[in-house]
Amino acid sequence: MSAVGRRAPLAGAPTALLGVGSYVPSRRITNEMICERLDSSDEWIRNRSGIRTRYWAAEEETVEVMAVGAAGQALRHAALSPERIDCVIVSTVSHLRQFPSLAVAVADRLGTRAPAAFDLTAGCAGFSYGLAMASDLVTAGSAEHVLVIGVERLSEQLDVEDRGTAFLFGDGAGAVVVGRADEPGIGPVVWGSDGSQRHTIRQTAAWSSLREDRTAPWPVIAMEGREVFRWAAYEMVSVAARALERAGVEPEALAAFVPHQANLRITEELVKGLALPEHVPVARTITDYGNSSAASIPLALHQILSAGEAEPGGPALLLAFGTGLVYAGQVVTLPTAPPEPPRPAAAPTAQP
Amino acid sequence: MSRDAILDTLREILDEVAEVPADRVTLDAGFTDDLELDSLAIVSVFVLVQRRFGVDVPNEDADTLTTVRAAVDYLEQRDAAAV
Repeated sequence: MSAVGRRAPLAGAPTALLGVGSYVPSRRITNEMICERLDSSDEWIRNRSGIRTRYWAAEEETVEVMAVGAAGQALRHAALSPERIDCVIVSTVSHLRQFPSLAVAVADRLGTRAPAAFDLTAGCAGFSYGLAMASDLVTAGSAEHVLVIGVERLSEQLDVEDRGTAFLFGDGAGAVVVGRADEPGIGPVVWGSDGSQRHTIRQTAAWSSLREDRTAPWPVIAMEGREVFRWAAYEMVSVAARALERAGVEPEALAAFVPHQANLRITEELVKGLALPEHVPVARTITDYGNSSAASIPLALHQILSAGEAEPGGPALLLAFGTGLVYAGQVVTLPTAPPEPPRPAAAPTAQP
Repeated sequence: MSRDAILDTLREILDEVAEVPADRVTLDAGFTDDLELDSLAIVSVFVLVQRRFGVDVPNEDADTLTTVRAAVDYLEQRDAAAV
């Protein structure tokens, strides 16, 4: 890791990531297990996606349980008690209840004191959307400490016989605490959407289809993988470049590149497109955790910091993209290494 | 851009995407059959084509370009049309 230019101040808001945490569910799923239901092979899955394993939630590991677990770790890392949190943002597309929000349940289970709480829907870019909002809320004085959680349980929305998606997704949660800082620690977000491509990653039917026809199939994820791959590999390079430019950070000064863990081959395309030098650590946690959608970036951050792969205090480029299509990129200053590494949860035995 | 220049650039792209040796990239070579690219690698090739040539090749067009010759012909035409 080179430190050349690393300490140049970031242009951005006087906010920072104060803590990070994650929840990795208990069921480790190998490619061989996936292929019991799917006409595919370990070699094909690794070659196409880089994925070796992913973790799926057991029945008791609800989105609420996983979100609370990740948030608790982030709070301990930030050395903050729950009552110091005055806003909770949960990003998810797999909370299968329209209302009330998951955020209010998480806030209650954590023991917070009447924070603003809401969910947001921005697919795999949801964490980065939430992070941008959290930084702006703190900057504006609307909140002092914001908990941003990305959580997904996409295993129950998979078509286990779809060669394009069955192997791709993992469950889990990741969380950060955002608060005020003496120096800028969260750069301006570069974000947007292209709704003309909303068909490329979609739920196959609305939940209301089940009311209209009780025998209708359970809605699952459908994806036009090639279209998404191409869009991400081409368009996201300029989003990342603009995020770096707005933060005033040169690519060679990065302490880490943490893209959404969509597919290892998309990550490699982005590394090439950005011409990142070899000394810049790149998160490739998809190999172990699969694509965990909104949870993937905070989980990856937690992993690389815990493993000592990225230098605390250095600038990291976060880049997220997903269903919509939506995207968001920002540069953040890495927090200290978290005290607890990501660790798969023990198999649940009692009531949560 | 001349056909030779287009072919040279395609050779660079194929080397970058899949380390295909330049001498295997003949006009008659098929991307899948001869150069052994999988479908994602072919997408990667056309991502780089878009970057290098400034030509957006829609996937439905890319699907018809199964050989190096077809790709060169296509890019030559698109290049001429853009002038």
